[in-house]
Parts: sequence; C-alpha cells; structure tokens
Amino acid sequence: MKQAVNLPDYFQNTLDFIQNRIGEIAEDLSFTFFVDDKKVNLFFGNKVLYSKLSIAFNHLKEIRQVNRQLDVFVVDDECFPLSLFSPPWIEDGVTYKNDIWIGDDADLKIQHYPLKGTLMMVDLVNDKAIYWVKSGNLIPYYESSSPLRSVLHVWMSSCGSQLLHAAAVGIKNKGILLVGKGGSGKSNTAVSCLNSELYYLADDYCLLSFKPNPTVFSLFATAKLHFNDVVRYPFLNEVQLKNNNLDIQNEKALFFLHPAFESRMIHDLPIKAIFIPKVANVLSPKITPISSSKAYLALAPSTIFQMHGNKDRTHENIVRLLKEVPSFLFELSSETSLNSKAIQDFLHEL
Amino acid sequence: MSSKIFYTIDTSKVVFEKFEDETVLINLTSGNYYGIMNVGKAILILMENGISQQNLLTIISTSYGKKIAEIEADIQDFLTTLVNEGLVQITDLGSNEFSALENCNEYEKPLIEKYSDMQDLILLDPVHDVNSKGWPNANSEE
Repeated sequence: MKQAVNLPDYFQNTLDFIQNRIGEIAEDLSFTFFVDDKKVNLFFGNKVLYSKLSIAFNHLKEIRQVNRQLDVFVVDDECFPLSLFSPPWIEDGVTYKNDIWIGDDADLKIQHYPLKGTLMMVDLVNDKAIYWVKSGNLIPYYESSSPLRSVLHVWMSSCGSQLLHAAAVGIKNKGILLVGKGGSGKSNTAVSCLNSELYYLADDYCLLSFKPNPTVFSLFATAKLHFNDVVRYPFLNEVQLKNNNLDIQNEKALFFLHPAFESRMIHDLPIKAIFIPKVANVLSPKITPISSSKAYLALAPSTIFQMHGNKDRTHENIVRLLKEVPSFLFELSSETSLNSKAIQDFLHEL
Repeated sequence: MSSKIFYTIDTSKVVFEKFEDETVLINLTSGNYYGIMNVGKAILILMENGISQQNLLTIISTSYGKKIAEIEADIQDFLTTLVNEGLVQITDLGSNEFSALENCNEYEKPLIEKYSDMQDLILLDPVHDVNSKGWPNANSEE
C-alpha cells in the first residue's frame, strides 16, 4: 500500500541532508554558469556526475550581472553511504513502468522518471533544486548533451524565459532559430555554421527570452549528429566524444564544442527570423516566406511535449514569438557550406 | 442540426491559436495536433462565440452565399471530427449573440489536417500530473 507523502517536507529534509554532506566533501565539485541575467550554481556529489553533467556549460562561465540565481544539488546513491534519496513512494523496486510523474504545486515542482532513474525537484520560492539519479555511471551519453534540461526548463520558466526545441545561429545582433522535428535538418545546418562566419548558439535546445524583443540564449555547447552525417564535418573530429559502446544505427555522435569553437559561439542574439529547414537536396538553397502557422506546427508540438510543465505558457510564448518574428521555409542544399552561406547572406541583407 | 446544441473548445486539454491562414490546435492529452483551414476557421470562431449548431449552419450559409443543403454534410462531418478528436465538447449552453463573419470569400470545404508524430512521445513516456496530497497517484480526473 503506497503512503501519501508530504512532498515539501521530503524535499526540505533531503535538501538539508545533501547540503550538510556535500559540505563535508573535500573536493570542490561545484560549477557556476551564467545565462541571460541568471546564475546557476551546480553542486555535484561526485566526480562522475561532475564530468558528465557540467561540460556542456563550459562556454557560459563569463560573469554577468545577475538578478536571480539557482542552486542545484546533483547527487546519486553512490555519493553517500546511505541511500536516502530514493523517492520514498517507491516500494520494492516498483517503478510504474516508464510513466513520468509530475507534481505541479505552485512552489515545488517535481518530476520523477522511474525508467530513467531520475528525480528532479525544484523549489521556486527559495531557488533550490535537487537532481537525483540512481547512478552517475548509468547516465546515458545523450544526457551530457543537454544536462539538467528539466530543472532548467522549470526554473527558467518561472523567471519568464522559455526553453525551446530549436537550433540557433546568427551574425552579430541578428539571430535565427531553426525549427522542426528530428530529421528536418536543424542540427546539420547549425553544425555547418561552425565552419563559417556565423555564430553558433544551439543545435537542439536553446532559451528564449523577451527583452522585450525576442532573444535567443545559448545553453549547451554541444552538438549531436547521426553517425552517417559525421563524415561531412571533418572539422569536428577533434571534439567528438569517443565511445565505442554506442549503437551507431540508433544513437548519435556527440560533440563538445567548447573550447575548440569558442570563437564561433556567442551568448545571445536578438531573433530576427524563424527558419524551417527542409532537406531538399537542391543545388542552391532557397529561402521563401512561410506563414507563422507552419512555424508553429514545426516548433510548438515538439517543444510542448518534450518540456513537461506549464504547456499553456509554452504555447503562449511560442505564439508571441511567431507574431513578432517572420518565418521562412529553408530548402537545404546537400552542399552544407552553401546553406550556412545562404543564412549569412540573408542576415546581412536584413 | 439543432438550435439547442452548442460546441465549445475543450481548453482543459487543448491549446489553439488563430493564424491568418490556419487555426492550429494541440490536444495535450493525445499528443495529436491539427491545422484547420478554409471555412473550418470560421466555424471555430462561431463556436467560440457560443453559436448553436443550427445557427452556425445558417451563418455559414449566408456569409458564403451557399444553400444550406449544399454545405450541411461538410459541416456536420467537420463537427463530428472535432468531437471525435477530443478538441471540442458538446454543450447546451450558448449565447447565439453574433453579428457577422468578416472576410468571407469563396466557400471552401472545412479542412482539418491531423499530425500524429508526437504520439510516440506520449505513448513512450505517459505523463501523470499529480498533486502533493495524491502523490504518487494520478489526479482523479485522468
């Protein structure tokens, strides 16, 4: 028989325990990064967690003026001798299959993914969060490409910002979002820009904020590509995560872009256009205006269903973005350098 | 068609937005999403304004210069689809206060395009919203 749990008490007790024990760890396993006007302090329980979940933020260390900050405690059962952090409602290994359980109280957001073995809790009043995994060694490679995404989505949302499922590139003061489902060409187009004069902000997830105009912020200095596509970007060879255990049919190659591509990365850009890439294999890439409704269909469903939480707010933010920024269909050439050149020319002419 | 049947978009599980060329809707429960075009956009506007099934047909007929018999089947099919997809609910409450549709050009059959490619996410990882009292049980209305 499952017992009802007082979640605020559970969160506070767990937080107190973790804070005390992390303070006793001799090594400094903290990591701070800045995005927009926010500061995020990560405190890791061990080196495995640190190495897997901090590297994607390496490009965001530059100190910025801060209006709000979040402390995130990242732990697993191997951090401490006692396994106190397994959610108390799990009995005898019962995991409710792969269901996701989301507690959506106003001040305490909780997401429990039994199959992934993760528990995320964010206290929005005190700006404290706990991210628990069963074992850091079990964290899949792809989590390293966009770590702590659920924590950041929930907290950034409370700050008025919005995580988007989109790639982003641009030139100085002019950025574009590339939106579409998996396989639409977002990542390939964004990655091709690393070998051009364009700035790179994201290939899969980025942050939208209205300042008051729509602005995109980089969150993760990573890229992912299908293994078949890797050969097209030899300049990425040095930064590829080498992992012989990956299933190259079903998984993707992961690239850590910082510091190798530091000069090609930028913290944020005003959004001037939304591009919907389409793999067309045309000789010369083509950019044509398209209705905002098509951009909505390319951006909103995948963002809403990947970012659990306030779906109405996500919808509203995307609608606002699309009403302020024009959308374009971007028919891609198989020659990737032509695609980045087309974006560059488009932005220069704006 | 009845003057006592009304429709309302089920905003408890549907988000929608009217763009110039198309009205888009997402069913947050099923994961399906939709683009509605042609006269379908006008029908949604009439629904939002609490127009009865019968008056909805009359207004479309008048606004687009078509006989009711010519369009009734189109509209009935469209309404049935919206209900079956869980996008709208039938209700007995409405206002029937509505002046006129704007920018009515040539009648084009209501069109709904359905996209199901997000369903994998929903089916793979079913999401249950819970509250602290009921944790870890799903909310009773699920």
